[in-house]
Parts: sequence; C-alpha cells; structure tokens
Amino acid sequence: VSTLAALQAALAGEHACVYGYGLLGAHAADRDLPDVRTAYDTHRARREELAHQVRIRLAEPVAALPAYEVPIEMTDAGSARELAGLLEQRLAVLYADLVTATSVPALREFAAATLVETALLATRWIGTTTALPGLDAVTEEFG
Amino acid sequence: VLLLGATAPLAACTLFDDGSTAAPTPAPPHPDDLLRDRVVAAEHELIAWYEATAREHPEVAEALGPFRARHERHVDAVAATARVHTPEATATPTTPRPDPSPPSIITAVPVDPAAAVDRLTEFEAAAVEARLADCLAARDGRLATLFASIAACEASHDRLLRAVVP
Repeated sequence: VSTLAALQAALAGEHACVYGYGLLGAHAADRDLPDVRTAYDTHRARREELAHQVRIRLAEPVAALPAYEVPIEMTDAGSARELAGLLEQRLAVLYADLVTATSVPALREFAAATLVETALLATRWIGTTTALPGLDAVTEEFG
Repeated sequence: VLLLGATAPLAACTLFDDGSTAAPTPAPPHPDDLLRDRVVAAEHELIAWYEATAREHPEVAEALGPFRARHERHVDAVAATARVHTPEATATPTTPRPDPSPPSIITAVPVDPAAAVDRLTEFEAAAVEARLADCLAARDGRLATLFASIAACEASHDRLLRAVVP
C-alpha cells in the first residue's frame, strides 16, 4: 500500500468516525458527553492534518460521504459507548496500515502516536484492550 | 595461541585473515534483529515484574493475569517476525548475541499493594516511550507497526492498571 493510499484510507476512516461521534451525542450518558465532544474535536482536527498530508502529495483529499451505515443500533448510553469503541478500533487498523506504509520519519511518528491515541480512546469506551491494537482483528466493519 | 582462547573472536580474525580468502568476517547482526531482541527482553522483564507482583500480592494476582497474558502475546508476536536466515547466513559464525530473555533480578516489589501496582504503571508508561522509539528506529515497516501496536497496548495498560489498585 502506498503512503498516499494509506493516508486517504485513514482520512476516509476519520470522516466515518466524525459522523459516528456526531450520532453518539444523542445517546451518550451525561458523564460521557465531555469525552465525546473532545473525541469529536480530535477527529475533526486529524481530518485536517490528513487532508494536508494528501494535498502536499499533489492529490485531492477523499471527501466525506453524506451518511455512513452504523453497525450498532444505538438505544442507550451503553450502546453509544460500544459504538465509540468500535469506531476507535476500526481507526486503529488504518493508522497501523499508515505506519507500515510510510518510511517518512515525521509521518511514521504521527501515525504511531495516533495509533496509541485511538487505542487509549477505545480503552476509555470499552474498558479493556486487546494485546495488539490495530493488528488484532476487528470483528465488525464500519464504513 | 591456544591460551588466548578466551578472546577468540578478535584473535581468530587476526590469525585467519592472512590474505587468504578463507574466513569471511562475520556479518554484523541486522539492526532490526537487535531491536527485536531488545523488545523481547523488555517484555520478558515486564512479565517478570507482573509475576513478582502477583506473588507478593495474591489479592491482585487475578486482576493482573490478563495484563501479563497480553505481554506474552507481545513476545510471541515479535518472535514471529524474526527474519528467515539463509542457510549460508546461519552457517557463518557470528558473534554471540545477548541472551534475548534475561529477566533482570526483581529486587523489590513494594510491600504496599497499591504502591506495587503503581510501579507497574510506571514501567508500562516507560515501555510506551521505548516502543515508540523502537518504532521509529525499525527499518522494516511491519516491525515498526508491531512496535507501535505494542506501545498502544501498553498505554492502555497504564490506564487500566489504575482500576486494579486495591
């Protein structure tokens, strides 16, 4: 996978993630709301960074879709947390791919640090971790 | 000459490199192999700390089990990436590598269980930084990714251990 393709995949994943967090707010527990908002802002900021990285490689950043299929039916605060955790686990895979794809030190550093951040957020929402975030299989698809 | 056996590697080179084409200089270990050995050793050391903490504080042993198990998965995953050496390469005498799994002697698990778990969080936090540095140093992209993933797990451990404190 080329660096550009991995960047575009990560950007597409962030688009889906921003959409998902947008839906989460309506169902999240009051005590989770500050973290939902922080995560939402974090993902929006990363979209900008990734789009910038795509542009400096003379490509057009992939656009957000109007809507995304959500794999978990949100009915309460618990399912909202479950969805947030799944979004982060799915993203972790894309950042792991980006680490593999690039040998540019600054970009590898960004991808690795972001992989750690997504794993921390997944842990925040799910309450546990896998041994190898981003490399362990994510059972459900989102996108 | 025989009496100098203890310093064999250097002496042998000098003795046999007498212009003949015979003894090739041993190839230095690949940098990624050294990284791999270092990470395996670091993971073994973490595992040793979890074992010692569980032994000293049986009340947290069960809670620490999954943490230790994930570190064991790290060891397996890193070992599984070991480069396949060509027969020629394995036949070449190389300088002995450091034992990849020498858990250092556990000197002192704190007597207070909360302090003992707290120490584990410190080791996990230090491991995150070390694995991220290893990620940047790795030549092979997939090995770099594995180190980043291990760092991600260890960062999560740092958080999750706070719920273990009795």
